Amino acid sequence: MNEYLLEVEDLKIDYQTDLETVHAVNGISFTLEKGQTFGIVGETGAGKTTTALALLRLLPERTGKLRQGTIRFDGKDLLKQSLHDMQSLRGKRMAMIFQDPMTSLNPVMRVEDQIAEALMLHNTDGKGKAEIMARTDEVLELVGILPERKRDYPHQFSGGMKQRVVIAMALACEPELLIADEPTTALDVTIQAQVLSMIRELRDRLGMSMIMITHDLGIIAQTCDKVAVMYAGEFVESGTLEDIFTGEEHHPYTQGLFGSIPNLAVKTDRLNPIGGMVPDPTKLPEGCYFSPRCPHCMDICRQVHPQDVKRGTHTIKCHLFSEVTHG
Amino acid sequence: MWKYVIKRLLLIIPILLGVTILIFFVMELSPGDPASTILGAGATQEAIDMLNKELGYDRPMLTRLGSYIANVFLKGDFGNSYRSRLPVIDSIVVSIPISLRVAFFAITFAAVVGIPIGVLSAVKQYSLLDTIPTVTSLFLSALPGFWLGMMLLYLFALKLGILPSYGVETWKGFILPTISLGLPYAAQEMRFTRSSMLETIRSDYVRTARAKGAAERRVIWRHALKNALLPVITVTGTIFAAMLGGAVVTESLYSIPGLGSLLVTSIKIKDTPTVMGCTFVLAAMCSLVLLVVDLLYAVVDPRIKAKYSK
Amino acid sequence: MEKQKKQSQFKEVWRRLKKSKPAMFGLIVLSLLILTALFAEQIIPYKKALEMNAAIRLKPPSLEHIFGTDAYGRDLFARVLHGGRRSLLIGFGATAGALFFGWIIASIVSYYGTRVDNLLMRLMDIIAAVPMTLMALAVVSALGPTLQNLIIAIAFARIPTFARIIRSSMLSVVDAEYIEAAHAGGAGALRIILKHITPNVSGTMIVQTTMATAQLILIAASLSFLGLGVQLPTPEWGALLSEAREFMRTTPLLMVFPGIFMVLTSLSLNLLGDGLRDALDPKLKS
Repeated sequence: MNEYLLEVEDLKIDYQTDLETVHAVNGISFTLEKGQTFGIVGETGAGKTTTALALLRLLPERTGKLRQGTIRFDGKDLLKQSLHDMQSLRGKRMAMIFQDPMTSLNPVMRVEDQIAEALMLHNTDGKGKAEIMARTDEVLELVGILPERKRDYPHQFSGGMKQRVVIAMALACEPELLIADEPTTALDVTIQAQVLSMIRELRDRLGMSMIMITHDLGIIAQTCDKVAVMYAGEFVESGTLEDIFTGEEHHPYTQGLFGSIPNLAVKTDRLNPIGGMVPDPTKLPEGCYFSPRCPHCMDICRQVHPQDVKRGTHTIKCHLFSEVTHG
Repeated sequence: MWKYVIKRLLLIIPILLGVTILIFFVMELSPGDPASTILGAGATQEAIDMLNKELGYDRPMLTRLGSYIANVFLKGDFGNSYRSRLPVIDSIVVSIPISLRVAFFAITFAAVVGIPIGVLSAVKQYSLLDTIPTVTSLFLSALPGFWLGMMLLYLFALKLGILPSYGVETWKGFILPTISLGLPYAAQEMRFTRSSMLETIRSDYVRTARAKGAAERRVIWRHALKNALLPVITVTGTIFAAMLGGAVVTESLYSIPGLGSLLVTSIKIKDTPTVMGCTFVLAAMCSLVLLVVDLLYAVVDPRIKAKYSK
Repeated sequence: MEKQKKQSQFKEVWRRLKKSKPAMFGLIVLSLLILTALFAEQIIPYKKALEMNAAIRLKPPSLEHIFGTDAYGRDLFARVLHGGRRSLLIGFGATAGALFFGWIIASIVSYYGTRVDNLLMRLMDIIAAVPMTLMALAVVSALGPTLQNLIIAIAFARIPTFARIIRSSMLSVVDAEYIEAAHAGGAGALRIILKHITPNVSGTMIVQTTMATAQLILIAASLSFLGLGVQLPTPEWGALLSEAREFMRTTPLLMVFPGIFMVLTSLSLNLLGDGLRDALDPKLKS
């Protein structure tokens, strides 16, 4: 039994087309223990989904290029596994749920069949059909879908219900790791809370580790033990939940994220977005990727790429905190 | 569900009514009158006037239209041929089976050849198994069907002598018409199937299937294929309807005595009732084909089925 | 300002188009074909296409008659070239007509909304219920087989498809509020249609035009082949093919040359159309 369930080291991923190279992920590392929930927060285009897909080796075949790094799941080097072995892992020990429930389900396959498929694919101990269908019913109940709806098609369900089906499919084989990529973003606000609390409950019940990808700090606060803030393919800040939410020092981007949340208690005239735009991943800036938008930008920021500065469990990738600049 | 079927069936009627009126007005554009055509050049004005009156041609246009519609829809009576003076419907009925057979063989050929190659091409994208069919289909869809037919006739009938050069008395006679009519459409089927399959392979639910641990083969066969083929059903129907039009030229080329040949001949001899009858029947056949395809689609796609079951 | 934006948009599309080798091939071949059609008279005089000479019937290609001669001793090259002139004229003419009327109908329908939509589109459905070749056949048979009538007949048959496609494109671009806002700005119907709606669907229209031209040239040739379009001895590719039919056994070249030109025309139009579609909306590319 290994110390970490998941170990990722210095992962670099590009999307290579004939015309250009998109630097989606630029050297991230993290570890995940059993039962822990790791949150990755960042804007669209930060590289979060790419990271998630890479863990399951689901990057698009022709364009997705994993340039360097290692991914170890329960001690096994995932990048060295055969496709067949990866397929045994997917859905069984590592599962993923995606953002848009509207398009994640096969429109011409009954819901019950889609869930049963997850079970049949990993039916190593030769369960019979009856057993599988019984387990399917169990799983549906787990996510709160009435048994009489199991032979319905996806389009007959609402958005929130569809996402429950997606979750049911992912959890059918009781995986050790669940990767949730913005699972509630596409849902109505009122349903979001329901689905989220269901995910948390199931996680606790099954003792799963989870990677929660989101742009919503509120969700991070409710679900995660460890957090990383992702920008332009890097973790600009990472640490425990306390580090990120109540710590004193922060990466300017993190400050910007927190600062842009409207404060219900204080009357303001304007919102505080972070000025500027996310950098073009085909033409990343010299030095710190955040420098063009950073209110605290110094000369060195534009020239030298910042290194990680560690303060115990809290890591910040910023020249503001580095001993080199501050002596 | 049945409500939908009946509703769609009923919708055809106004369309066919419209088609009848359209054809009637188009034919009204042509110069001359029936009697002159029937009696020919040497006839006297008197004889012409008398025959016209007998045929009801002296009535106002709208009356003639109304009477024509009534005859067609209530009695299936398209009038009598100017040439043979016999009911048009008879010569049409005789020709329909042959035309149907030719079109049916051609569409089957197009689908059986085009669809599997399209699927293969999509699954093996970027490889030779994709490039060769794609390039070939580009050429094939640029080929005029009747030119292809002529070239095939030259090679197989005239030079090699292994296939008949005209008529469909034996099964061999169907081979060349089927290929020359079907091959350009096979290319269309292939390209459409390929693009539908490519799109499906990129969809989110296919990604979900992979994430569940399904092997690529299963992903293609169990998830992608069915979804990709649904729109292909509709396109095949559209192609079949287009084929009914293209078959006119094929029939001419191979001297096949179907509706198309009948139509062309009657145009040449100015036999207006037959022209109108053939056009109407062909349009009706097209509409029916499209209807059948729509219904088939509704049966096969659970989303549409549900929509019309309420 | 708007003109500059249009110019740079155009440049961008052109840049993308240049990247596609097949599309450029199509463009070059098509341009060559159009040029030979335009300057057919200069390349080889029309009278050569009609000049009969029984002594040199059905001769194979030679220096004097580079495609050989036909059953009446006429120069095949001249007939194919001038035939092309007619085929292209009919094809482009009919396409232009169908495009114009289809655009008008689509504009009216998407601007004025539901009631007009139902009425006009039902009418389009009726015309479309008859397969295109047949519709053209019926109309040209009623009007008489002249070049002008052929163009009218074929254009008429193609209007519904254009109307449908342009309408669908317009509806996705237009919504009631957008029009209301333009109204509020003081614009009249024509202005809104011309300045706001049409530019957004021009991409679709352009691609459809190339595809339609290929289709309509083929229909024109089919009709002439049947003897119901351009009448012999006037050259047109389909008419030439019907002439060639009789002499297939002895002189297959009579059908090979016109056919090759037809295939080249179709092919180049299709390649160009495909390329334009990708260049105008690269997001759709697989």
